[in-house]
Amino acid sequence: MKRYRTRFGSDVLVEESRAVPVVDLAIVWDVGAIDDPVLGSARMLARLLRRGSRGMDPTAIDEVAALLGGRLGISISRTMIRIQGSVLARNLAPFVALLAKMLRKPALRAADLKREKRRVTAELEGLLDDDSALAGRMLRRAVLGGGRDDHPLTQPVGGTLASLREVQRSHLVELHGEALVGRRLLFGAAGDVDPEVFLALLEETFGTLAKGRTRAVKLPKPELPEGRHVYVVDKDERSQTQLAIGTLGSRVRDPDLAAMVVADTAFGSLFSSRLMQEVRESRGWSYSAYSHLGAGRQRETWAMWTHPSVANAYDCAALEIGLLEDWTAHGLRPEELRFAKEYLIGSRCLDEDTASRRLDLALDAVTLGFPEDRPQGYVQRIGAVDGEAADAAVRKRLEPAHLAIVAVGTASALAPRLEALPGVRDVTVVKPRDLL
Amino acid sequence: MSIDAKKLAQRLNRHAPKNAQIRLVAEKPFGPQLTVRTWNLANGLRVHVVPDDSAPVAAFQTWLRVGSRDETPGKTGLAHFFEHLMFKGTPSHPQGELDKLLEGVGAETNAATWTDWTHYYETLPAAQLPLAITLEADRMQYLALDTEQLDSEREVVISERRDRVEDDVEGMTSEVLFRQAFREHPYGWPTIGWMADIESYTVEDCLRFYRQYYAPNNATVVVVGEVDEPILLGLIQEAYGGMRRSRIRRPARAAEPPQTRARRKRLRFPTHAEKVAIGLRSPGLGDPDWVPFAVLNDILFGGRSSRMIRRLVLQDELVTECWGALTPFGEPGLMEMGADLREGVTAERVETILWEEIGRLHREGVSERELLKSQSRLELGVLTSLETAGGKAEQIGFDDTVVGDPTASFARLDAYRAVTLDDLRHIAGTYLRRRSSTTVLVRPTAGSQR
Repeated sequence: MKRYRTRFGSDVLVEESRAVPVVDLAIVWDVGAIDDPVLGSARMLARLLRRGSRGMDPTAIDEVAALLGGRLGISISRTMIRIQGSVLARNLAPFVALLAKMLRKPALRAADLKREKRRVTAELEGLLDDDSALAGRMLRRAVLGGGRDDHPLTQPVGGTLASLREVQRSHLVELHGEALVGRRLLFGAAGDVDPEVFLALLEETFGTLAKGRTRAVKLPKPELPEGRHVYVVDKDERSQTQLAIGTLGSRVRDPDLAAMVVADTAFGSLFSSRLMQEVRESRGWSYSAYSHLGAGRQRETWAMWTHPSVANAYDCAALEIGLLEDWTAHGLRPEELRFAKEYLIGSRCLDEDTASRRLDLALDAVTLGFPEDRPQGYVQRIGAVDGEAADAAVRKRLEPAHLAIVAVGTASALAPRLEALPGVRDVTVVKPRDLL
Repeated sequence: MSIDAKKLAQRLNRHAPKNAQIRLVAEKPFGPQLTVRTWNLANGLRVHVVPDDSAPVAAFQTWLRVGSRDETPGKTGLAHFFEHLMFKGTPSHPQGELDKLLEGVGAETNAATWTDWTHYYETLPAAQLPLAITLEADRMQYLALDTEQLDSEREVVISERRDRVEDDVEGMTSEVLFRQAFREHPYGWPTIGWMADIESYTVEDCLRFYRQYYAPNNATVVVVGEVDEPILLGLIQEAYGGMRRSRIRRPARAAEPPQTRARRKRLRFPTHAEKVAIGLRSPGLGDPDWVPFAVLNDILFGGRSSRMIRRLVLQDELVTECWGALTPFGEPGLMEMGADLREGVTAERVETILWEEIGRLHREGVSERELLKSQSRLELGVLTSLETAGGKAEQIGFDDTVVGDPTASFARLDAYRAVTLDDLRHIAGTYLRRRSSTTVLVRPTAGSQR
C-alpha cells in the first residue's frame, strides 16, 4: 500500500495489482449524518450527486459510467459519504474525470431533490417488507437510545419519512460548499493502476480544490436502558419471528476490542460456535443463528440473531438468554478460545487476497484515525488475546441484565409469551411504519 | 498434451490403483495470464487446476451434476436437503467436525444448490488445501445418516423455507411464477422443495440419492490458487482414487411444451405494496441466443441508465426497483422481470408499461450506444467476478457443469463483444412475445399496509 498527499491536501492510498484489467476506486468524503442541518440532508446530497452537473441529463452520470465499463455506488454513514466505483483499466482517466465532475459541480436542482425525496420515501416504505431490516432498526433504537427515536445514534442516517420532508435545496448547497475541501477527501485506488498516473489524474481533475480544514467528529454516548425489555414489531400472518437479542457492544478504540472479537467469534459468529450448535444443530430451531459485535466511534450494538417459528420463539429466546448468561458468568472454554483465534488468524489472508480488499481495510483504518498499516497488526493483536483477557472483556462489555429483546412477527401470538421471559420488565408493541 | 503433463501423469500413475490412474485431457488459457488444466481420474472424477500465486490462498470446490431438475414429484427439494446433510458426519469425522476442522484453519466453507447442480466450496490458506481434499473426499464416500439427524435438519430446512418463501414476498412470487411457467419440466418446482415434500423425506430416500449422484463420474473438482500441481494431484488420487463409478439413472425429464398463450396468476400476500413479475421463455445457457439475450436484458434492466429503470423508477416514479435476469440454466428457462411498486400504484399499470417498453424495442430497435454500454458493463461484470480464487473456481465449476466448458466465461466475454444490432432484433422478435409470457400480480392482504 502506498500513501501520498496531493497538493490540494487530500490523502491518497494506492494498491497495485495486475491480476485483472480493472481499477477499483473509492472516495471517502468527511460529511455524513452528523453534519446534517436537517436529518437526511447528507443522504439527499449523496443522491443528488448522481443527478449530475448543470446542463447534464439527470441520468448522464450513470450513462457515461456504463459506457466506460464502470459502475458506481454511493453510500452514507453517520460520519461520511463513500463513493465506490470500478472501471475497465483502459478507461480510468475519463472515469476519474466523471467522478470529479459529479462531486465538484453537482447541479443540486430543486426538481431533482423533490424527485429523490419521493424516491427515498418509497424506498423507506419498502422496508416494511424486510423483517430483518425492521428488527435492526428497532434494535438500534432500543439499545442505543433507550427505545427513543430522537437519540442521535438511533436516528437512521438517511433520515426518516418526517425529516426528509424538511430537507431543502439550500441545506444541500450549504453542506456541499462547506465540506468539499481537499482535507476532507480521501482517495483510494486498487488494481491495474500506476500510482503516478492516478495522482496526476487527481491533480488534473481536483487540483483547484481549496485545502480547507478537517473537521472533528464528536458523537454522543449511547443510552442503554436498565433491565430487559421486549419490543414486538407487529407484522401480519408471519410464520416465524425475526429475533434480535442485544445489548451494547464495543468501540473501535476500546483496548479490549481484539479480546471481544475473539470472544464473540467463539460464542456466535461461526458454524462451530456455541450459538449455532445449540440453536440450529442441536434443536433445528432456526436456519441462521449468529451473533454480531458492532464496533464504532461510540459503542455499537452486540446482538444474537435467529429466526425461529412462532411456536419456538419463546424457547429460542430463553435459550439464547441462558447462553449469554452462562458465557458472561463462566467465560469460554480453553478449546473455544484457541479455536476462535485459529480461525481469525487463519482466515485473515482471505480478507487481504485482492488489492481491492487490502485497500478497503486501509481506508477503514484511516477513516477511523488509525495509520493505514494498522490492518497488518491484526494477527498480532488477535494472537495476544488469552482466556483471561477474553473473559474479562465480555464481563466488562456485555450486560445480560440489560437487554433489548426485539421480535418481528405477529404480536398477538408473540407478545404474551415473550413477556414471560425471565427478568422482562415490559413489552412494547411497535407498528412497523413507526420505524420509518 | 505437453511433455511435462505426460511425464507427470506417468509419475503419478506408477503406484496408483486402477481407479486412481490420472490423465490430462485438456489445457486451455484461462484469461491472459492463467491456464486451466483438466485431468480425469479413471473412476470418472474430473479435476480442473489453475495455479495462481496472486495471493497465498486456495479455493477448493466440488461440483455435482445433480440439482432439483433431477428430483421426482413428491420428493422435490431432495438435492437441496442433501446438501445440508453433507455437513452431518462420517465414521472418521463425526457430526460438527467438518466445520470445526475447516473453520479452525480459517476456511470459509459452505454449499449451494440450484436446478442443475450442487456445489460445495472451501476458500482457505493455501497450505491447508490437503485438509479440504481429505474432508471432501471422505464425506463423498462415507456419509453416515440416521433418523435423528434427518429430523433435526428437516426443521432447519423448514425454517429456511419459511424465511425465504413463506414470509418473503419476493421468494413467494418467484416460486409461483416458475410453477405457472413450467407445468411439465422440473424447473417448475422450487429448489428448496414443496413444504409437504420436505416433511416426507426418509433416510432411505436420502441414501438412494447419495449412492447414485455422489459418485466420481458425476463430480468435478476445481482447485484455484497457490498450489503445487503434482503434489495436489497426488493428494486427489489418494483421496478419491478408491471411489467407484455409479450407474446414474436420472428420472426422465418431461420437455416443457412451447407456450402459445399468455398465463396470469393473482396472489394475495401480507405486503405493503403491489408487486408484478413476468417470465418470458428463454434459451438454455449453451444456446447461441443466450449471450445476445443477456445483452438485451442488460439494455432493458442493467443499471440506472437502462430503459426500464429510466422509465419506471426515474421518469414515471411508479416503482422503487425493477429488475430483469436471464436464468443461467442448462435447459430453456426464463427471462424474469419484476418490480417493487410504490404504494398506491397498481400492478396492472406497471405491467402495461413493461409491455409498452418491449413494444418500443420491437418498433425502434436498439442504438449502437446502448449496445456499447451493455457490452462494457457485461465485460466489467465478467472481469470482476474473476478477481478472487473463489470467483475463478466458481466460474470454472459452473461452466463445466452447465455447458461443459470450464473456460466458457471467456468465450462469453468474446461473444458479448461480438453481438450486433441484428442479433438483438432477432432476440426481441423471437423471445419478447406476450403469448409466451407468464405474469404474477401480487396484492396486499387486508390490513397488511399498516
